[in-house]
Amino acid sequence: MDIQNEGLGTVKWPFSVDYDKVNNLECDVLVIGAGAAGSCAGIASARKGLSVIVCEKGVSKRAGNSGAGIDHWNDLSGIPQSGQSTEEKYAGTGSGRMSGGMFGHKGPAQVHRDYIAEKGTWNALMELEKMGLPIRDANGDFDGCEMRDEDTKLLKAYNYARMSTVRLRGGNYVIPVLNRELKKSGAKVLDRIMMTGLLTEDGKSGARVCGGMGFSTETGEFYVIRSKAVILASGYVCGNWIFSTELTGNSYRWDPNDIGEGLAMAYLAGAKTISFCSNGSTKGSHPFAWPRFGVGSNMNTWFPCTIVDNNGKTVPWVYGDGTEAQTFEERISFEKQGPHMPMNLMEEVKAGKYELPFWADLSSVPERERRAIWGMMVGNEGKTRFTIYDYYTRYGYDPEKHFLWCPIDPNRGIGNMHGDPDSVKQWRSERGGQGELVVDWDLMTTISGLFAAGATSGLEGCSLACSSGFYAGNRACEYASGVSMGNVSDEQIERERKRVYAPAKRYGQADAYVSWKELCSGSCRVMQQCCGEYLSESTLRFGLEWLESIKQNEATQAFARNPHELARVMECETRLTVSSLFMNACISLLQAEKTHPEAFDPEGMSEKRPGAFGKPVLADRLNRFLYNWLEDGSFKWSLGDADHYLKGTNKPTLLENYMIHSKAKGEEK
Amino acid sequence: MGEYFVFPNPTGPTSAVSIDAELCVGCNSCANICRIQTILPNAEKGKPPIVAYPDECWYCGCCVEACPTGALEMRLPINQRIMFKDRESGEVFRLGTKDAPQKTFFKAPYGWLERPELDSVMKMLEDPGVSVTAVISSETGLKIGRYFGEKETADDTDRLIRFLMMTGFSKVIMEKEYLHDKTEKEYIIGIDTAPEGADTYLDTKGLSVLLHRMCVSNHTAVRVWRSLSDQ
Repeated sequence: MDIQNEGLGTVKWPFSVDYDKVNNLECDVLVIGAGAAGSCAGIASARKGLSVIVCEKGVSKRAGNSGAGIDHWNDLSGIPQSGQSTEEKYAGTGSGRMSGGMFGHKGPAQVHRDYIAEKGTWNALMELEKMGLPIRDANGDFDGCEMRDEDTKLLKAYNYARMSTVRLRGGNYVIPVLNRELKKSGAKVLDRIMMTGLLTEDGKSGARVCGGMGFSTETGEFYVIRSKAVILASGYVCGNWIFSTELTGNSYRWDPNDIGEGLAMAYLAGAKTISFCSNGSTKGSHPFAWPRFGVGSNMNTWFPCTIVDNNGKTVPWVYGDGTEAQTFEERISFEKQGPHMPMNLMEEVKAGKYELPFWADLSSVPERERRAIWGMMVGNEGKTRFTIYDYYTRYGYDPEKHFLWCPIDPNRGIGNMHGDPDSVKQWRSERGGQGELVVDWDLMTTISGLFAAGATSGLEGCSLACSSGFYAGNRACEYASGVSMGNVSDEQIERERKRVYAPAKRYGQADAYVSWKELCSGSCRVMQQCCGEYLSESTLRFGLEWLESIKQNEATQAFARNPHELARVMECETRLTVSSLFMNACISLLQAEKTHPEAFDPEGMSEKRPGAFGKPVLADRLNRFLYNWLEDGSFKWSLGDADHYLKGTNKPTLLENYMIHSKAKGEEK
Repeated sequence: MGEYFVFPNPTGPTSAVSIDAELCVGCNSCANICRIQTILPNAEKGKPPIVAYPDECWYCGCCVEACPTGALEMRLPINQRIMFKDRESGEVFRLGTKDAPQKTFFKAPYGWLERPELDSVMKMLEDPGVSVTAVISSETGLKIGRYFGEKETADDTDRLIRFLMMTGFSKVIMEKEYLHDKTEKEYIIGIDTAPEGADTYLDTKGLSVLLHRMCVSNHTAVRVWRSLSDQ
């Protein structure tokens, strides 16, 4: 049945709704989000014998960004096959300038957090295997292939000379396997519970956390969950700049449940944040992008596919010095820098050497490599097993016979195949600048008892999410074992209930005319207009007033006709909060530039990350941490040392700190 | 002159997924796995679920995977946008069009959970150096249809043979005609029968799971099955 096409008229909401009912629960550790990070955090905590509740806005069996599957297990170091110890990989990052992680942050990064996560990726993978996830080429499908590491029977990616990224045989099942284990571990898992706020001691901002609040997106009932520790694992901040239902399915890489509730509730509770001034959060919202991995490419999931032009002419892979790779094998096994698509490819197109469009030719790729891409990768990655692998072949696409189109922007080049068509420039780039919570060596935020793992703590990708989830789960247990239940404030609970249910209660009133979509579009327009690459304090302040005005007007006129719509309206309130944080953070950046010019490098990262105007954006030049937080309702900022995690009471090396905070306590190696 | 109605028409796709009411058994597996509540259970028990919020769909495909009967089909916005080209003829096709070629690719994605015996058959079928022969019992053709949405029992042996040949089997032989003349580079798969020298044995259900996996989704499996009746 289909409401919009079959015209069923009004359909009865299938669950009995009770907005006035309050469910009071209690546990030692509350985990918010049941994706890769939250599941692992819940498993680690429950295995230690603590009582654990995991709340998931969606459905835990397929929750989060890894919920529909993954292909690569990234950031393996410290195992013999990776050819690099984690210490070597992170050497020289002590200044906090660059993360060792795969995405490379702008400005100072929380290197210790990346290091913690990367230290645990191998163990996390071994844990997943013990839980029943097929990760190895056990039955020899890739027997004798270069991509297979013969000692471990794991399948390497990108560069077969070492194993730093692994292609998972059963990546589609990461979350179902974790979910089975989570339930077996004794954790209580609550699906369709959207958490909206944190409980703090006596309801005070900045005080230690003592639980969380939320509601059911089915029954609308309220949940008050008291706990000794809370782990935020609720994903990214997404979609603050662009709202487009038309293109959601095409371009969304990230789970649309990722709104940023975790960050927003931590910020409102007084937690310190960084990087919101980097101002690049349109995660998953390349509005005109192509379906992820659903157009031909030579990169990422499609690495190292052959690219041909419209006449079938093969584009060579070229080394940095201009020499062409002679064999297919050269693309995938090299000592230092492998060959790529020619840097001057677009000039060659314009000069007539190649005719557009380009096509990805899997048919001429060696059979095992073809099956690794169209079978292992596309067969397991999120949103591709059914949406692409199944759908494309149902409509006749056959990788052994057909080329798949590579739509490109000739001005941006072939390296941007998942990007935008020619006529539409990217609005905001996907640069990892969602902003993040400041965490210590226990992955605890600046709020006592509040931990962060996975994307909420700025760690992108399933391997880092799982690893940080296990780590945060263990640290949260240690913390919870040493404290008593906090004193919950009834007033804080009543205030949250009033806020959450207002849109449902006002539905039907004459002035309650604003739908969540309208509210979302409005706040996005503020960000489009006032918070772009060009930062000016007056524009940002104008934007903040605009947002506040929306909060006082349209947001108080927004309606929700059922618990689903209520969740969407609450997400808009989260966006308003996070958007104000983005703009305040940008203002603090401009103020810091005036008062602390020494905190900015003159050139910054200009070579690696050119800004919109051909020079690095201001945040890229920052060489210290710019902290942003709320104190008694007002926005504060300060600058801190980029390598704070090696100073003060911390030890001077990453490894020493890691040993003290993990191995000494028992579990990681 | 018919009657005309007004329908809601939000921006965004109006058909994220469609549900075939004939195949749907009202189990709500799809609604229960949908992270975004695009699909909601029907308030009336046993009735097909409601596609309520298609414009919020992430197109993760978890509902399609969860549907035991193949009643769900993703209806993607991408189907107006993706091109592919025949390397021999140069002909360009667009995904989802009426003149799209027949499905020819039946190799399954790797890493399905459980059932390692199916992995081994799929591996045999992918090996270009060997041939794979299915030896089927006279019962198989009678039992197979219900795994592809058929409500009434019929002898579908011919259809099954075409299906098996399509998915990479070299030969399909009836049990009573099997001469035990296995060659060196040949694997024998017994279906509902265990002929001498067989490398693997599957019952009808096991065979149907194998065929579903090679079709990827239950929906595609049903579609392929139905297309075989037209021949």
